[in-house]
Amino acid sequence: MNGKKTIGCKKLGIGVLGCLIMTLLIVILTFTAMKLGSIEVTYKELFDGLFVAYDKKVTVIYNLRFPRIIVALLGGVSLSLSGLLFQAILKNPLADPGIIGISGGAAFTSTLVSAVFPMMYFATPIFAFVGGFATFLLIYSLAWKGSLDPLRIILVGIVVSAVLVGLTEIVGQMANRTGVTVVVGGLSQLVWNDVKVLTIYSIIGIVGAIVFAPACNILALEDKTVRSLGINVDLLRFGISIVAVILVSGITAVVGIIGFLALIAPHIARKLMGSDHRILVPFSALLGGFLLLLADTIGRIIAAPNEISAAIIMSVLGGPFFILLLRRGDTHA
Amino acid sequence: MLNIKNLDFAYGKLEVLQNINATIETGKVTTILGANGSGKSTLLHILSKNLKQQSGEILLNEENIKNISLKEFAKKVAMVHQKNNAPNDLTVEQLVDYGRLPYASILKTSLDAENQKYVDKALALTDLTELKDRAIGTLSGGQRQRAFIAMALAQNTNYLFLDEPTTFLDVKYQVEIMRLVQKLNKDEGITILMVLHDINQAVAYSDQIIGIKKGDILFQGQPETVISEENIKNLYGIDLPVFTHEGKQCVLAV
Repeated sequence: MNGKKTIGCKKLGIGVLGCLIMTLLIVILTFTAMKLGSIEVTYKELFDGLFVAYDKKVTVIYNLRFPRIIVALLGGVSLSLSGLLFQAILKNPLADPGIIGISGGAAFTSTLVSAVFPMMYFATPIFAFVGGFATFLLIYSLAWKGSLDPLRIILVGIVVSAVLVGLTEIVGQMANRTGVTVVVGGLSQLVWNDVKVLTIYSIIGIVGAIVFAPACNILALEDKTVRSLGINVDLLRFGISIVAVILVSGITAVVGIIGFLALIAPHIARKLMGSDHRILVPFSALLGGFLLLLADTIGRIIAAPNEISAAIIMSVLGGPFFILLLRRGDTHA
Repeated sequence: MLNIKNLDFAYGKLEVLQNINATIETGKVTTILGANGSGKSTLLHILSKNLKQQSGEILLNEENIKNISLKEFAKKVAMVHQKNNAPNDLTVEQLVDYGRLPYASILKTSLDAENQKYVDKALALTDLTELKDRAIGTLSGGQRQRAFIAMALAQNTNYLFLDEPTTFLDVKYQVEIMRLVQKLNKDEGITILMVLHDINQAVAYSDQIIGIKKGDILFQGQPETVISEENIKNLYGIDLPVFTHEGKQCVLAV
């Protein structure tokens, strides 16, 4: 930026303030989440155990609770950004990778691979990406009739999603594994390896989302208007959809399908911050991370010692919110 | 000059345009008239590279437009569409900034002083300088349409295409837009090609009128020579009285 008026100062200010508040909330929540759970520690014990001397309790927390917190944060960021990008390219505020079947496609291929070739664990996100992207192309071509009808995308997506989730269950159960845990994303039993895998995909996706943020703004115009401005809309949409699918593949391969977050987080972000994706990208990312960690933490403590998966918490809280969205109509604000 | 030669277009099996030949002269205002579904908007979309014809060629100053990249083309021809969506909180100036995209990268977020010059000029021409910080969602229909015209003007092209620019506006804004178009042609020397529904506006503001019926050119020429009761009946399939008012034809559409 060369100092020329880009974003109006007022809006940029609100954007920065919003992101700072979200960051602060995330920090507070992270520290709370570290402490809460079946093993109780004080912050002093935690600090000493991590940096000063070996402590059995802290080691358990480090190996179980930390990966989980990081995956929740990164996963929330990824899902939220993925939803934001899908909503931009499909010009549809209801486009959620879960609803339109992208997560289903990703879950199906990653389950298939881990059932048939369990040793290829590290590559499952790649297969998840292939499945997710194939599903995107399928839905896009099925819903395309000269132009993209937002309603048709949702309808086609729901059907495709149902089929894929069903297939994933079949594969999971045939392989005599708990297929359910792949479909309904839960964050228990995560290890540092999961963090590594997810980090790679998240970083690629986050960088992509930041790069494409100005382009997402332009896509809010009619396709033919964008074309009149000399932009190859189809190519642009294709590029952004790759980023969106990468974002959803990583988290789906690691924890399974988590619905509603990708719908709700960008929507709240738009309500608070307006339509500029240069602000929306960082803000929805932070909001997404916060919400998923919140859902996971609530799930961990609400019925302790039993756990309720983050996906279920998201569905229970997200479902009513989704109905509210539908009732408000499809204002793409 | 824009030359259209033996143009054919079909949506799947549905033939929309057959063997269209026409010339859009530089520095003039040309209007396409025709009934709903006659193919007039389709023609405009092919001429602006939004749709691809099955056969025939379109030459922009002797150069076939299929050989011009979308980005280069956007520096030569700008288009204002009938239906325009934009986020409600986008400001007028931000929208007009988009008109400079053919000269920048879509991934960039700022404009330099050179580009800003064209944005300012476009805002001034459309009388939007005072409203440049207003959000699109707060504009009246006429102001909104002017904002999209300003975006097209920021592209700094020699050609401006408009697809039914007045359709959703009341009569005051319609005339306002038509006068703006006239000003752009007379003062800025921009070649205008537009599709209109209002025959009287077409007569009043055009140098040339092209009448399209079922994908064929029914007539083309100066308004005085082509607008007659017979041609109107052939074009729209309805008998309407045509009379003369201050030397120009008028059609009483009642």
